[in-house]
Amino acid sequence: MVSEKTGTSLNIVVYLKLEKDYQAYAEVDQSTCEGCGICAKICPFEVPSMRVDETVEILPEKCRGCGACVPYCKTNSIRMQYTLNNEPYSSTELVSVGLRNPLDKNAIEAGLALRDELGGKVWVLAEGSPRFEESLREALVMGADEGILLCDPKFMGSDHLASSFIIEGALNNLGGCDLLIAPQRTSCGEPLFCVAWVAERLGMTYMPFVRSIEPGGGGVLVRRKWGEKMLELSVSLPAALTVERGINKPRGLSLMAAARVMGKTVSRWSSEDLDFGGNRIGEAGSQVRLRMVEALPKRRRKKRKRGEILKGSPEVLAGTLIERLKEWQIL
Amino acid sequence: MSDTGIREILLVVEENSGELADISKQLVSAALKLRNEWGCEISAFLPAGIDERTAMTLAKLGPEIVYRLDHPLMKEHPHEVTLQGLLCLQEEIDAGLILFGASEWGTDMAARTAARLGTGLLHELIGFDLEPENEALLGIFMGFEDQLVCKAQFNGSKPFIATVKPKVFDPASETDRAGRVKTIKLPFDIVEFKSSITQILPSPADMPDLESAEVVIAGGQGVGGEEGFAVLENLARLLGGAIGCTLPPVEQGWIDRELMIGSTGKTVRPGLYIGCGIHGDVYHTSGMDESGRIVVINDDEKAPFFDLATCGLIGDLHEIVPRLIEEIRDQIGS
Repeated sequence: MVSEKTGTSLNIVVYLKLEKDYQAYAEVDQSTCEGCGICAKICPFEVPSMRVDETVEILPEKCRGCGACVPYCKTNSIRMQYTLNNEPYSSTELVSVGLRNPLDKNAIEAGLALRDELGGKVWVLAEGSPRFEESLREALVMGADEGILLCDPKFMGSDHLASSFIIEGALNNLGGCDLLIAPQRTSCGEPLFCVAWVAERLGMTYMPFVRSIEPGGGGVLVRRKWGEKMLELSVSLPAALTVERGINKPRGLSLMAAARVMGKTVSRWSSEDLDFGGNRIGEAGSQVRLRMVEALPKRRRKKRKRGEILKGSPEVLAGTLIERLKEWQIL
Repeated sequence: MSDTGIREILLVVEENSGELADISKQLVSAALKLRNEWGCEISAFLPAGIDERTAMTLAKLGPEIVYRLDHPLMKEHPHEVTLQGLLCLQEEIDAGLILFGASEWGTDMAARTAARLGTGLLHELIGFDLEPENEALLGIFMGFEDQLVCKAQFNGSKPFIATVKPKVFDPASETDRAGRVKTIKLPFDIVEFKSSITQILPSPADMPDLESAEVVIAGGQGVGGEEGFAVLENLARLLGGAIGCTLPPVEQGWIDRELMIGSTGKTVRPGLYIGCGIHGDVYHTSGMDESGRIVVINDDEKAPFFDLATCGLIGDLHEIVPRLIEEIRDQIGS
């Protein structure tokens, strides 16, 4: 699709890092659990269940490790446990996961906005187990043109370098791209290193920590911080960027877009579909290897009591606060 | 000589307006620790834009040699020129370990360097571990929003590349010995530039660092826009504090993400925290609930944030805060 206005058209690939390098699950200390069931209400996957003795049980094999329940437990009975991710894909196939990292949506929106202005196509690429198909489907509903899941147990254990070969293989399959966009950070790791490697090998201009993107300057114009200043840079294409939060307001999921997407499947590519050196992926292709993961003891938060809550005119309220500030020796 | 054969550590140093960045002084500290344990030497690389005086200050902190880079194209193409300088230097001295501070600049340069050299990188390290029996060097870092400790091994060829987490090591202090300062020169026509600076825009206002401020004024959805935050900023300046926010203002573009307080943002523990127009859900409060005294200003009396308040004011922040500012000005007499 070529834009009428400018005559340019961009092939944009948005890369999302969705898979963690380790497995997390929540563990309930039954001796302190009061069985209030808040964790069950909060859990997006309906994992916690009530036991006969009216305490809560969270089965490690069902728990997705999102950690949402932990801060809500009134008795601080839930603790996250972590193990190195050694489970094969098959056991996690059944539970699907949508886009949870807000930066993922920022990255997708960045691609979509450029495509809408200049014309072109947006692919959303992610590497991980089959449960991440849902995340890519959400990207399609946002408006992306195609979703591709790079799915193969052989990919597991890949560090940034090995992951970059996987992405390069995928990009080669697509015939290259004009712009590769990734989120600046995720709870699973920092895509900027992997993207730097891809940029290096494919001769793309690399620019991380991007706070705004617009067409211009013979490629794109981006802004980023440099010490205490804000720089605007012209970046030639093809380029590989990682984007910061606040770069845009991601569009919502519209019913019309959802309807267009019905019946569309997310493509799945395995290592056999990609074109790269066979032993460069997984642990064998990695330059660093995760050896140990251990949870820190949870800091006991002090219980706060509700203090004095006041109503009144703004003058009275401001006046009372001033008095308090004086008592507290702030003023 | 260490068991891992690292004879030399190269530090890549960052400057802020002509002064050595704090993160770089911490980096030197981290390297000195390794020198004590491994018996290696430390070289520091200082990209241009920094005068001799800063190079001398750096030399007094501990490195054996400080390499200054001088290049006319640095201002227009800082990333590429710095990278080229670093690569030329590395070819000459063949350091076994190259360390960067894990600031935005340092992380960016580390990523480019690792990509160019094709070697492994570990990010935001808080320490190192040696396993002499395996001849392995491990980096220690935090995971999953600082709830985990992880160790990863460098498995490939040298140089190993790492970024060091800020505020873990104390800044290095001046010694009475000074290392040598050498200037590196690069040929003019060094590389094809793929990016260039078109504009330099003014820096954001100076305020105390959010994470170490004793007073924090935070704003949420109720603040309503950029202008609202400007008012909060006035209050913060009067009290000598820093400004922060929750997620919704960031998403609406009213304020920078760097100022977001919460489970995926900064954690603050000021003596006084004043939250304006903030509902108080756990993703924010987990980032500030250990503050000394908490003041909550919100016109919704059902807002859960009031449960954490030392003093809560139910009212319109747009009326209360300006009056607060006026009264404080009167009290201070300025």
